[in-house]
Amino acid sequence: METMPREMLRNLQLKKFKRILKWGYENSGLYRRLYDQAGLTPEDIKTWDDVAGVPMLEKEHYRSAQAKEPWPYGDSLCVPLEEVTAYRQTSGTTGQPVYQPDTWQDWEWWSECWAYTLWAQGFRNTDRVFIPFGYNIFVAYWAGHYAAEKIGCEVIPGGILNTEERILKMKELRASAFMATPTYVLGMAETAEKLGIDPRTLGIKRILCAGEPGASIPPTKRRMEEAWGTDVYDHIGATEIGGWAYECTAKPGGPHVNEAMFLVELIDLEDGSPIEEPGKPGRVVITAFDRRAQPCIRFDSKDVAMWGEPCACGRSFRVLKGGVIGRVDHITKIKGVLFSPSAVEEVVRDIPELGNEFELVVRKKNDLDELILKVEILPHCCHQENKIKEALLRNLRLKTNLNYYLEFHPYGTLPRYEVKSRRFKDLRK
Amino acid sequence: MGTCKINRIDLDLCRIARAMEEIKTGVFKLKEFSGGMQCVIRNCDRIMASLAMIQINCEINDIDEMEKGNY
Repeated sequence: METMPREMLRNLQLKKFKRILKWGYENSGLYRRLYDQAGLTPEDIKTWDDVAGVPMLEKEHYRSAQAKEPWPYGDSLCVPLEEVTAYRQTSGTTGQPVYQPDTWQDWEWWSECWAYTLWAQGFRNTDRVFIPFGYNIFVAYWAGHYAAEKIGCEVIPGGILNTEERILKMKELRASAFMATPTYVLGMAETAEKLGIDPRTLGIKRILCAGEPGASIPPTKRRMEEAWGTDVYDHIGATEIGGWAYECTAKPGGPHVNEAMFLVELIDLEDGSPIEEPGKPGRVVITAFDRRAQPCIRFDSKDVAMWGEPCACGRSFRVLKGGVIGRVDHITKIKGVLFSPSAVEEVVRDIPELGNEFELVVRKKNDLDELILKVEILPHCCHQENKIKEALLRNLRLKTNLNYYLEFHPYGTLPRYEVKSRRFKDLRK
Repeated sequence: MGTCKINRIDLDLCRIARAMEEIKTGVFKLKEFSGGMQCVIRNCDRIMASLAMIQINCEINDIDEMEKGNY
């Protein structure tokens, strides 16, 4: 599937789209209502233009459907409740969490999607994979765990261990790979150094990053690769969607969309028209072709991405240049300028004298927007504060066209995160 | 990097599809012969889920279309 000619792939995708839409319409009250209101039936879908006219689904649709019976999935559920074998939920960052049911087949599908990722990133049955993740109600690395087993890796679940214990266990067992958020990958390197262990001596051959876009932001990727002395790869997924994109070992500057399992559409941020050309940012709308218990059909992920150029690896799956480059709900206007916080991450992480952590606050002062950037200078670079300040302000201005108030904090005092970081705070709302 | 062209393999989807059908028929027979014995049922269900993954990956649930060369 990964090397299928584009035209064949597109035909197959259209067929798969029709099939999952029919499944949703016939088995879920949520989709039936949504499509009935739009005057749409599965038989109306014949061309890609028809696909573009299918109403989009948002988290709020799931939430309102889940207020109905059967508890807790409501009529978004497409299978009898007794076929559900796994429960997960979203983190609830944007409101009431969405509950996610999966049948055993769905769970096989989850790990299948991740198996694409791991194989493309060079994971093999010779790998001993450490998973430093608090196994819980969030899907996070659960599917990574099962996918690693599925392709024959030896998996070490680093569940309730703390960071120090995880590093020592990785060292003791000579793990060859691990998976974590970029924030935690960098945090683990710091902790290893505090323990007197150079992470580069641990023998890690590859690191999979998910949960945040850092592995597709060049300066962040470079920091991680330098800290661990190995290759770092990106993966994109979400609870309601599945693991839908992965970087390959050719590192084309972003992840491939798994177009065997998902339809990913980019639509214009202003007028909603489809985007096919590289380099133009758009809203990411996703369909999972084979997820059955609670289908995901034209789901508005709120992510922003842009198409890249074809990859040298031979896969015909399209590449998203720079991965997820922002969130629709994070892209905001500051002083009338369109602003995405990921641009700030790129600038901060590109200055080697700064630590990995930062925090960005936007607030109103006398009716004017004010941007405050908090950073940490590495202890041995404190004497260079003026030089760093100058470089930071200049690069931020170039990258975002905005001015900032800078706050330098002692190294190690800004918040550290294990899973998803919350470094951007908009206090105007 | 750049030397990681993925392997192209000889793949006979029609034969895979037919073999899958045979396995499915066998699994249904197993369930039927089990008299509802739980250990047989649960493992047959797992086999069916794994078969579904092969189907999804190879998209081989439409043999007629494949034989027409539409895949």
